[in-house]
Order: sequence, then structure tokens, then C-alpha cells
Amino acid sequence: MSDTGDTHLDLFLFSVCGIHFGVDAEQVSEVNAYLGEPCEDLFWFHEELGFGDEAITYLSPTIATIRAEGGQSYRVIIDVMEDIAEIGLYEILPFPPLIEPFALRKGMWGIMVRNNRLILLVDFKLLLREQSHVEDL
Amino acid sequence: MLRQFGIKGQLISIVTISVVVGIVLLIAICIRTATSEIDSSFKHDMDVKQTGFAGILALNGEGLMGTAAAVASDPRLKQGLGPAGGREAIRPLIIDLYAAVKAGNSTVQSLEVTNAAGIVLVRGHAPEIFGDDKSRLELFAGALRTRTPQSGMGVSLRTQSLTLDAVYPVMSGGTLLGLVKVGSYPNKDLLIQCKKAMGVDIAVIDSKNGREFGSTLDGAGAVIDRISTRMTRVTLGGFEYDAARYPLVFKGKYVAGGEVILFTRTDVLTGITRSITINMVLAGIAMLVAIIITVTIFIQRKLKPLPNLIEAIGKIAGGDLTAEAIQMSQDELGDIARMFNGMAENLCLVIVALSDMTGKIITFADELSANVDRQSGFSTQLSSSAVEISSTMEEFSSTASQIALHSQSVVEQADKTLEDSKTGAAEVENLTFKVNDISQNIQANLDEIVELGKKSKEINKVMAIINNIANQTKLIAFNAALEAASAGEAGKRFGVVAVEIRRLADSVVESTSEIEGKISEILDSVNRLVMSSEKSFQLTREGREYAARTVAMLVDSVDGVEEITCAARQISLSTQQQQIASSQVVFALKDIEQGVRHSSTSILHINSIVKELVVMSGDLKRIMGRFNLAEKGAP
Repeated sequence: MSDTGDTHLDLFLFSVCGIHFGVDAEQVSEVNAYLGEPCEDLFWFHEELGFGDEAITYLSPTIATIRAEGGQSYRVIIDVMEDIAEIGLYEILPFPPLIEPFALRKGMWGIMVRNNRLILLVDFKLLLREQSHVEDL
Repeated sequence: MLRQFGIKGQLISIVTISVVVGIVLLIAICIRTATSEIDSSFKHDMDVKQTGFAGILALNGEGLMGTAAAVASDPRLKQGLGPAGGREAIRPLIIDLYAAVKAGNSTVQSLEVTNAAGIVLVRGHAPEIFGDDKSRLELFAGALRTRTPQSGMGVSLRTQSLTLDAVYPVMSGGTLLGLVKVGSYPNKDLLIQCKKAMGVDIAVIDSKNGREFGSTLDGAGAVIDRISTRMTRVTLGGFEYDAARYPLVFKGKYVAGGEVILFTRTDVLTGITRSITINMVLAGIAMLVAIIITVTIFIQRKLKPLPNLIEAIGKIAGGDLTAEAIQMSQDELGDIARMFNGMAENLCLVIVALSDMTGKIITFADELSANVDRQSGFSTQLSSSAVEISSTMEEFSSTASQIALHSQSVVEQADKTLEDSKTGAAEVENLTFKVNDISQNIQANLDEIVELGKKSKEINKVMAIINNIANQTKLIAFNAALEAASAGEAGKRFGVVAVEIRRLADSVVESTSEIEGKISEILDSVNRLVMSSEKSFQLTREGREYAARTVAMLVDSVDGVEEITCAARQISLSTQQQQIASSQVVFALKDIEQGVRHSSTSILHINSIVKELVVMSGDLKRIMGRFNLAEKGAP
């Protein structure tokens, strides 16, 4: 988390299939254009987050490289990059208690509203931990 | 007065009154007849009793005759009347016989014996009187002449009483020896016996002076004068009697100077009459009651359907045509109910038919009214049109005059037009050459425009390259921003630059998008321009062809104009004729206009009549609506 005096946070904002997401800009090391090349360590964001089996179309597929622990990299394909914005922590709201456990298992840790849009905040590291835990089981 | 009781009450009352009057009259006639019959019977009974009384008298006469016969058959008398006898010889005998006869019959008052010449020899009741001649007396003369017994009744002038005598001849071997006469006075005892036998009181009177010879009633002589031969009612001794006066008859012969009166108590007759009257009245009352009950029951039964019929008629009168009279009997009322139902059904059918016809009339009247309104409008329009046509025709007539006047100038103008047509043909030929030049220029412009389209597509390719560069720049800017964010406060200024670069890249992308849109619009315009130029080129070529044809046509029109000149002259003549015809048409149109005005007036009148017909149809429908047809299967 990029701490700007403990009151602000830099978020990398993007969207997949019209759903807006935000991730701590410190977790993304770089972004590149996806040209269709096959690669085993490349994952589609909608599959990681569990959008379901529906056919998803990416308008502008982009590879976001995630900084993983132990110096490993984790690459995930996202759709349209929208902005890198500094937002106040007071703008971030927790999930309702009823769905919070489910959201945390999917790597989502909060929500915020910006420009009349609902943005889901994703922690890729938390998502990786949850997936590793599932694979271990 | 009887109307308040209805037909049933009236019939019962009339029948009751008639029966009462009839029975009263019948009773009166019966009583009268019975009384008359009783009187007649009583009179007849009195006649019979009078005959019976005469019979009793005759029987007394026969009894007296027997007594005389017994005396005449005495042998001592025959012997004393023989040649050896004489008055003295028979005197004691006669006295003894008189005493004996009187002892046996108290009414016997005399006993006389005469010789064969009728000279009295001895009187038993008066022995000292004798010698008088009796041969001229009726009974004695008859007996002497016929030698047969004679009897008779008469009135004794001496005793002023009724006498009954019997003369019997005394015969011996066919020789008349003398006569025996026995006389008696029928006294009150005889009358009492007769009363007992016949049940009536009897009085025997002198017919000359009415003096009473004998009577079973005390004081009968006082009322004898008031009694005639007809039945007469008299009061005697406090009682009423019906009395009749008869001649005194003995053996079929009237007794001169004697009459008999028979009396009967009226209370007997009154009792009989009263009894008959009471019985008749009771019988009449019983008959009256029986007749009234019978008639009432009969009328009740016969008139039982009447209330139902009245109710049905009342419903019909109130407009309810569903009413139906129940046919309770097969008589005239049943026929009336059946005929009434038939009449109601027929009326219902008539009303239904009338209602349908009314509806149709209303519909037709409405349609007729609408048509008349429309016709009125048409007529008005026609009238105004006729006026307009008339005025137009007048103008047309004047115009025709003017046309005739100007036809000559038309001919002149046609000559001028001929010259102008020749000039126009030359000008059009020049125009054809100009159009050829324009066509060539359009073809050159078309080539240039196609070339412009090709270059616009090349610009599109360049814009794709620029767009790609802008996207890569955006990626670089994002990576720079990410690096700046990871660098913390130190990379913040660098982050600002990265953001600006990203925004610049975004602006480039937006600009290239706009340029691409504009180029697409240019290409569309070029395409439309190419098509338009091709169409213009085609039109120019067609115009050139048309111009060539126009030249040919103008050449041809020169001949046509010459013909037109001739035609214009002909038109001038025709126009003059048309002027005359138009005047005639104007007169005809004025007549038509007058006719149309009359027609409009008639239509207005028809329209008012049709409106009245609509109102009357509505009234008729309301009247039809008063009738109830629901249970008759009416629509």
C-alpha cells in the first residue's frame, strides 16, 4: 500500500466487462499491451476473480504485472485502464458483514464511489494467498 | 243501482228478484186457483149434497109409500072396502092402523082411505071428517087413472108446512077397491138426520115469501133474503157460513113453492185455504231458496273465469300485452277467453310489426332527412353554381366576342412566331455545343474527386499509426505513473509528468478518433460527389440529346406554325359562332337557375315535412313503448 501520510492511497483503476476495480498502485509493477501471445503464467482477471463461465470480451486487453512476495511476478490480464488516482481513506467503505467473508476470499477488501461509479478494491496479494490456500487443500 | 255488485251480483239479484216475483205470482195464482177450485168444489159438493138431500126425501117418500102399501094390503081393509063393508066397517081399523103407523114413523101426520071414486071414507087422524072428494087432486087422480102408487111432495096451505104424501091403490082381483093415502110432514128431525149424513146445515123455505119451513140453524130465516142461488157468505150466530139456495126437488120434480138452502161453515173452507196457502208459501220459499242456491252456484261456477278475464283485460288496457286469460270452461266465457287470447296475440303481433315498422320509419325518416338536407345543400350549391355558370357564360360570351376580335392579331402573332421558331432552332444548336463542353469538364472533375478519395484512405492509414503510437505512449505513461507511485514521495513530481503524458496520449487518441470520423465523412462526401458528378454527366449527355431533338422539333414546328395560322383564322370564325351559342346557353342557364330555385323551395318544404315525420315517428315509438311484449317473444 502506498501510504501518503496515512490519509491517502494511490489506486490503479481499471475495468473488466464494465465492472470497475481498483488496486493499490504499489502492487502493480508495470503494464503492457496484450498481443495475444500464449504464456503459462498469464492469467485472465475474470477467471481469477470468478466471474463465471460466461464468455467475456476484453475491449483493450492489457497485462498488469503484480509484485508477488519472494520476488516472483504474477501477471494478470485486465481490460481498460482508466486512471491512477489518489483517494482519501475516508472514501473507502468496508463490505457489509454478511458478504465480507465471501469478498475477502475473492481478494476484495473494500468499496468506494467515484464519479458516480462503484469501484471494487482488490488486493492481488490477498487473492494469491487465498488461491494458494485452496490449492493446498 | 246494481252496478256496484258487478255482473255476478247483478245476475244473482235479477234472477233472485225474478224468481221471487215468479214464485209469488205462482203462489198467488195457485192460491187463487186453489181457492177457486175449492169454491167450485164446494159448490159442486153443495150441489151433490143438495142431490143427496133430494135422495133422502125420495127415500122418505119410498118409505112412506111402503107404509101406504102395507096399509093397502091389509085384508081387513080390502074386506071393509068390498061390497059387504062400508065406512063404519073400516073406521076402527083405520084409526088403529094410523096409530100403529105413527108409532113407527113420527113424521106421519095423516092416514086417509077413499073409495074407488076418490071420496074420503075415513081419516085416521081425523075420523069425524069424511066425504070430501079427492079425485081431482094430482096424486089421487093419478092413482085412480093408472091404478099405480103415487107419491109427491107439496106445501100444505093449511098447515103452512111441507108435506110428503103417498097414495096407494087397494086392489082385489084386479078391481080397484079404493085408495090409501099416507101423509107426513118432513120436520126438523129429518133435517138433523140429513145434516149428520151430509155435514151441512139445511133450511127449507117457502119460495114465495121466504118463510122457513124447517131449519137446522136457528135464525136462518133472518138471512134467507140475502142468499141467492150462487154461493153467498152470511154471518149467523157468530159464525160465517157459505150458503147456496136450491129449488126443492122430489123424485126429479120441482116442488112448487119450496126451496132448500144448504149452509157450510166458512172456517172449514178458510182452514183448508189457509193450510193450502201456508203449504204453498212454504213450498214457494223452499223452491225460492233452492232456485237461488242453484242459480248462485251455477252463476258462480259459470262466472268463475270472469275475474281472470277482467284482470287480463285490465292488463291489456294498461299496455301489458303479455297478459293471458285462462280458459277455464268450454262455454261462451271460455270462447271469450280463447278469442281474447287470440286477439291479444294478434294485437301483440300487430304491435311488434308496428314497432318494427316504426323503427324502420324512424331510420328511413332520419336517412330521408339527412338526404333532404344534403339535397338541399346540393340544390343551394347547384343554384349558386347555376348563377355562377350563368354569369360565367355571360363573361364567356363577351370573351368570345373579344376572342373573335383578337383572332386576327393571333394570326399575325403566328406569323411572327414562325420567324421566332427559326431563330430559336439556330440558338438551340449553339446550346448543344455548349453542353458538350460542360460534359467534358464534369468528366475531368470526376477524375479529380476519385483521386481525392484515394488520398483520404491513405490518411486513414497514417492516423492508425498515430493512434498506435498514442496507445503505446499511454502504456508508457501508466508505467511511469506506477513507478512514480511506488517511488513514494520522491516520485510524486515524476508522477505528475506521467499523468500529463497519459492525458496527452488520451487527447491524441481522442483527436485521431475525431480525425478518423472527419475523414470518413470526407470519404462519404467524395462518394456522394462522384455519384452526383456521374449523374450530372449523364444528365448533360441527355441534355445534349434533348437539344438535338429540340432543333429537329423547331424545324418541324415551323410547318406547324403555318398550320396554326390557318387554324387561327378558322378559330376566329368558330368563335363568332360560339358567341351566338353562348348567348343561347345563357338564356337556358337562367331557366335552369329558376328551376333550381323552385326545387330548393320544394326541398325545404319536404325537409319540414320529413322533420315532422321524424317527430311523429318518435311519438309513435313512444306509444309502442307503452306496450309490454317481453313474454311474447317480441324483439
